[in-house]
Amino acid sequence: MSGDDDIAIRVRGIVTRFGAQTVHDGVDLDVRRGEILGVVGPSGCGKSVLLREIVGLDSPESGEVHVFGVDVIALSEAERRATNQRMGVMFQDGALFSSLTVRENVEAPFREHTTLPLELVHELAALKLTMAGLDEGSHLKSPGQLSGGMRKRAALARALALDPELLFLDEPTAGLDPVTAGNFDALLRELTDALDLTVFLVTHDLDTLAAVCDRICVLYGGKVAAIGTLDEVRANATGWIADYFSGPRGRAALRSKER
Amino acid sequence: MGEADIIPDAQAPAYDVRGDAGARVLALRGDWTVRTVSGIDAPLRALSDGIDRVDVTGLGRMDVAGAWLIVRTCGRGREDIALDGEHENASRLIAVAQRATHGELAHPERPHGVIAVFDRIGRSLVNIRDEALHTLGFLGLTLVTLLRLVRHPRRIRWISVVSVMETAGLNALPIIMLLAFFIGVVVAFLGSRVLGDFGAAVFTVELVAFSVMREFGVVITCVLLAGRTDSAFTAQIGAMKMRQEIDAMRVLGLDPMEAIVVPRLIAMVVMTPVLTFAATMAGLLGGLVVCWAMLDVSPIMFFTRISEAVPAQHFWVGMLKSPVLAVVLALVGCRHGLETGDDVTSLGKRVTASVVQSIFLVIVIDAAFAIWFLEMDW
Repeated sequence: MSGDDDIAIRVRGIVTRFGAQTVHDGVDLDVRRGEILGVVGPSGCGKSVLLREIVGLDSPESGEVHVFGVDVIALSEAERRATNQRMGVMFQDGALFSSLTVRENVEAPFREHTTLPLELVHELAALKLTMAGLDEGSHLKSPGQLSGGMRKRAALARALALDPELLFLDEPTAGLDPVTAGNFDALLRELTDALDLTVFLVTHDLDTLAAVCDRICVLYGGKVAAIGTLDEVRANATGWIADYFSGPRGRAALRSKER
Repeated sequence: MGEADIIPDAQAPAYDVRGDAGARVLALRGDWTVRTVSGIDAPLRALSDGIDRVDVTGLGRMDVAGAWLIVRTCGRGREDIALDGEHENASRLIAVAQRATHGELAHPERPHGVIAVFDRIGRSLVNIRDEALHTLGFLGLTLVTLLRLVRHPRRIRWISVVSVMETAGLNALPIIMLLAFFIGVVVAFLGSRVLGDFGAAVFTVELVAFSVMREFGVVITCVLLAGRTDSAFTAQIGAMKMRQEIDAMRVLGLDPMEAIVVPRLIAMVVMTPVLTFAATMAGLLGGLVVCWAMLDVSPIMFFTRISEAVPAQHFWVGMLKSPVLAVVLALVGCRHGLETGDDVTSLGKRVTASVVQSIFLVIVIDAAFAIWFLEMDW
């Protein structure tokens, strides 16, 4: 098939059920290399579950997930770990290890997966935190001492520790005030361009969609209801999607983008 | 699992320093990524300053780790680093690292060595003082709440009292009785052996009755409750604190002392004597079994001897201690729960501290009682 090299994640026919409730009923999705794909949908439509299935935390009932051309569902545990080193995941509230300092959190993947000298590990962790916008005053704090926005930055630094090609973000701006969220969006866009990342972003935040994402995928009713650039999705919007973009919050976010 | 699984054809990184028309040029070869650069970190650190340009013509892959090594080696005090040759992402990555650091990164260390030891000793001492003060403060707060509730008894939450009585008290009954039974067996066994050497094996009955009634019944009960119920109080209340349920109560005008602490206190004060009584009986039963099997003391003789030779006050001494220790257990458990911070580590610390403190206090207070009762000739 032509153009396969451009596809970082290929999802085909994913079906997920929790008891009698069907969450995914045949999800097909391609994430292209180097793009930021924003995944939206109503609460409970299985956005986060899809993310967990791609990174291997949950398994779908049927369907295929190919990451960099490798069928990851068929992989053994060890192969899976190797593939996962090419991915970074940032969870909703950061999921920083509360028994470690902020910098030790970023150092953890280095210590586990590389043989770098300790001094260099300290430097690289400090560099990642600085790139994520945390100055050295916060590096030795424990995660509990950080504000919500700073925790997300630290979590982003940890997700980027081993220079992954693929970055997964679960609600990166949820719970942040608009100014902090805006700064985080800008940081995300800047790092994605600089590090040539492919990003799979689950969000509810229309501002993030408008400011950061190259393409948008709407999950609705267990399927991909629409996928494309923001303008393409809006142009053909019906039902829930139309409500989503034309509600008062949607209009405000889109207006600010046009400005 | 080797590195080859992740990057199939990684080339070891290398570099040369060469002169080029009066400028020093650092020429890079191979892959400069986080998985390959461990060998060249030390030599690059030793490389003197004064690199003017970087030649990336022969460079393979590069990531932020490799870019940082370049920036650390030649970026100090510069705005940007001049590159020779073309590379897909080197210039962008080096620019990002340079902009973030300008070649220097502070990575402060936590204090270590002698100062850190003194630091921790000092913190622990202050902590012990604070813990003692807070315990007393909490006791006072509980007393004030209790006095208020005595005036408004309708505000006592009887449903939670009964619920705690069941989970914290009744459910602990089997394990406490079983343990007390074995303690009785052990005491009788030792007694028959040691007293038998003096030909006084028949006094084993008195030994069992004295020790189980006065001490073992109540101490076993309270130590078990400390491990079982006290830790549950702390974990439960701590989790509520972490999920801001306690804050929600305060905002809604519910007093957490009334809603959480007092029901547990009442339930413990009611149930601990009951459990102590059960433990005492089980301990005596253990002694009885051993006396019967080893000393041919029949059950009827066992009880006759107890009622003739052991005054009832010994039983009351044990029972009297139990409500006091119950107050200690309930208060320590609830206080640590309420003082949990909002992260998981602090919950773990609090549960540990709660169990350690309550067992410590149970034994210290029991010792104080023992001395006091002996001086009073009870």
